[in-house]
Amino acid sequence: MGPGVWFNVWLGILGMLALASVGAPWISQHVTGFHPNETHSHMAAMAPGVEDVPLEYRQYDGDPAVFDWIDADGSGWIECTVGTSGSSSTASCPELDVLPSRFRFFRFLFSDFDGGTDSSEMADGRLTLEEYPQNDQEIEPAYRGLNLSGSERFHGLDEDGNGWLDPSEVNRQTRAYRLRTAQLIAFDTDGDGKISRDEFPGAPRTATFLLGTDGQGRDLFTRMLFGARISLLVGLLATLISLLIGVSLGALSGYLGGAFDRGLMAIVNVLYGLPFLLVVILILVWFGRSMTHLFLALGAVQWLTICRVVRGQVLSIRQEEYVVAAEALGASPLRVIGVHVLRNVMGPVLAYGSLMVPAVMQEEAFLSYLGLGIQAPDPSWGTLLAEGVRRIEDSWWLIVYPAAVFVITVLALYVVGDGIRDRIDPRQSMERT
Amino acid sequence: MKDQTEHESKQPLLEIEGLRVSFRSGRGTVVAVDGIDLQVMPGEALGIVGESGSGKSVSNLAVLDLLPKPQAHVEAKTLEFEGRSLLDLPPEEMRQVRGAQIAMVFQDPMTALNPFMRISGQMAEVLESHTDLSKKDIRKACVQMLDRVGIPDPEQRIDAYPHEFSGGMRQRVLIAMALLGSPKLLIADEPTTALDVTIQAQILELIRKMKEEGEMAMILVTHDLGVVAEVVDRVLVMYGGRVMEEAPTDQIFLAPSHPYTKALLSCLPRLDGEEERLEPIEGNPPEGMNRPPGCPFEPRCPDALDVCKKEVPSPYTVGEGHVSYCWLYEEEKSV
Repeated sequence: MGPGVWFNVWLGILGMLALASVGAPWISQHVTGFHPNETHSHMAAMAPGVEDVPLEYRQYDGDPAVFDWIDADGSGWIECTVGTSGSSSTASCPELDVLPSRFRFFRFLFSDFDGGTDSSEMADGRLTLEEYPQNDQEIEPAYRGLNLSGSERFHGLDEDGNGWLDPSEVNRQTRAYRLRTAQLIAFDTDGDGKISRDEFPGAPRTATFLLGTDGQGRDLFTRMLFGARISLLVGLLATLISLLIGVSLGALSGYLGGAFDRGLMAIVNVLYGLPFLLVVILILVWFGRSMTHLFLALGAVQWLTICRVVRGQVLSIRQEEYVVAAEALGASPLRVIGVHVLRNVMGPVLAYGSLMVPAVMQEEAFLSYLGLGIQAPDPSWGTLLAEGVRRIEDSWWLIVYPAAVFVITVLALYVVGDGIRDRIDPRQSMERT
Repeated sequence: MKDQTEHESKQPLLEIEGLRVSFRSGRGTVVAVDGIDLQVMPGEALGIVGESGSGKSVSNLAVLDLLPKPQAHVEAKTLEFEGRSLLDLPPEEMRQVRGAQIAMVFQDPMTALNPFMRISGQMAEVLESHTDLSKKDIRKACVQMLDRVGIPDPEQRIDAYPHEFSGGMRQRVLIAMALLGSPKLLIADEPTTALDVTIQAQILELIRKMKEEGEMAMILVTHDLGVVAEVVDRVLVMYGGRVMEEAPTDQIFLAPSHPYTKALLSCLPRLDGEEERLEPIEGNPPEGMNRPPGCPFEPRCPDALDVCKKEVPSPYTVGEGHVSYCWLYEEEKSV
């Protein structure tokens, strides 16, 4: 594997991270099924891989046999209609209305029929085909016409096929009783007022806490997605701001020289002397804590080094013969600085910039850890790591997964930044091909 | 010498009188060029010969105002191009002189091209800076120029990066760039020093051909007397920031008048005549910081007089168009 292959691998990882962070809202809605700040208090601090049934399915566990029980007339679909009365809409599913009577039939099935209607046999908790009502004449008028009697129904109930029903087999059917009209109508996906067997969900759609939950029962994976979004955004924007300030001031300083250079470098040295955290904290306290202020503060502190790097580069490139040659052939100063000088400064600037993104992300993590950065409940990798450290003894996944993704991101940014620097130098790309 | 008399009737293209260049550094002021006079006639090829540190490159950079600004200090009694003073010219007008009136070819083709730019972009820059030609016309002109300087397959090669060319080819590209603005004066600063001997001959031939085709004047800066012999009409010998001798090319070789020129020539191996030991010049060139008040060559001069230590010699005409800056000729006169 050559260096180009690894570059592509890391570029792919970085692309996936970028895609995941950009698509975080979509992914949380359609894939994970969790909102990053939604708490599931009954699922607090669960290890990776546990499942939770979404709210709309909690009343019903999705046994397909339930369909047959609701479909009282055996037509193959359940009729539900949505009508409007005034401003509010009302829904009704007539077949659901007969469920209570069916439920009652099953509830009293054993007391009515176990041991026979004429009490000739002992009630033994087993309901055989002989004991089961063969036709509607044997059951009370209230239950007639609901497709409850007959051997066919008996065999449908006898799921283990051992020739008799036990109470648990019968009780399974009563679960459908808890379905509400509103829940049932939600299954009518094509909106034609009929719920067919295909529309009726075969199994409840459970959502998995892929990487477990945090102390408040929030899905760690979803929070990491949104954390990546915020952390990468802070890293990129703060880096862009500092590159903008640093490159322009550094280039001016190196090109103009003289008093401007000396003055600017004096300021840079003084700012270097200040502890950067103090400056950031001052900015955040003075202007208020918000994400905008956070990356403004970080960018305002980070430009110092890039300014020095660019100034040094410009000073040395100005001495290059091709810059003097361009001047000797009449190129304007703006052209010389823009085309010849800055173009050749881009290598170190990119290399440094690619390292600055993870550095800024680490600083954001640090500030968020101290409570100065991203504010709860919004996740960033900093706040996630902070919580992970707090719960390191009982919930290992809370620190391991965010930290692993953080490390991979930093590594990917480093490798890709390095690769880009090599690639923009035509001499090096020549050697590679 | 018929050309010479013809030139004399005309106004010189470039006229320099009393050019002085000094550099300020933390440790003091270094004088690199200490009052030189020179004239270049239209269409003439002038050679400036001297060893490293003699001030030949610096004086040419001073003409184009290309020396680093706060450190370098340039003064001259006269510094005129086509009768117009280049001293205190506004930066924008100076920029229009560079490339379009006076062009320069640098010493090292390996470093004089921007490694990040295609040749097409760097060549186009010259025309973009001085003309209003369309992109298409500029490209056409560049391809033609590459063809003229002998780059094979210029249509394709123009989009290559500098590192894809050999040293000789790069020097051809640099010459093409210098000629694009059709300048009246071409300054070639040691254009063959960084090249192989075989390539040197080709490049010299190219320069001579281009000079004749373009009817340009030329200043060829070199430390190689062989180069001078082949290309130029007139030679200026410099040492320690001063002119030592100025003469038509053949006179330099046939009748050198200055002890320094004589010493230089005895350093050269000869193909004709008998074998003899090469004579190195004893001692070292003067340092810029503590220069002798008199002739800079005095400490190494075999014929030095007492006056050489104290006073700078004035020019003495020793032949037609042949001037020597040496006290020896003062003595001859008085004798």
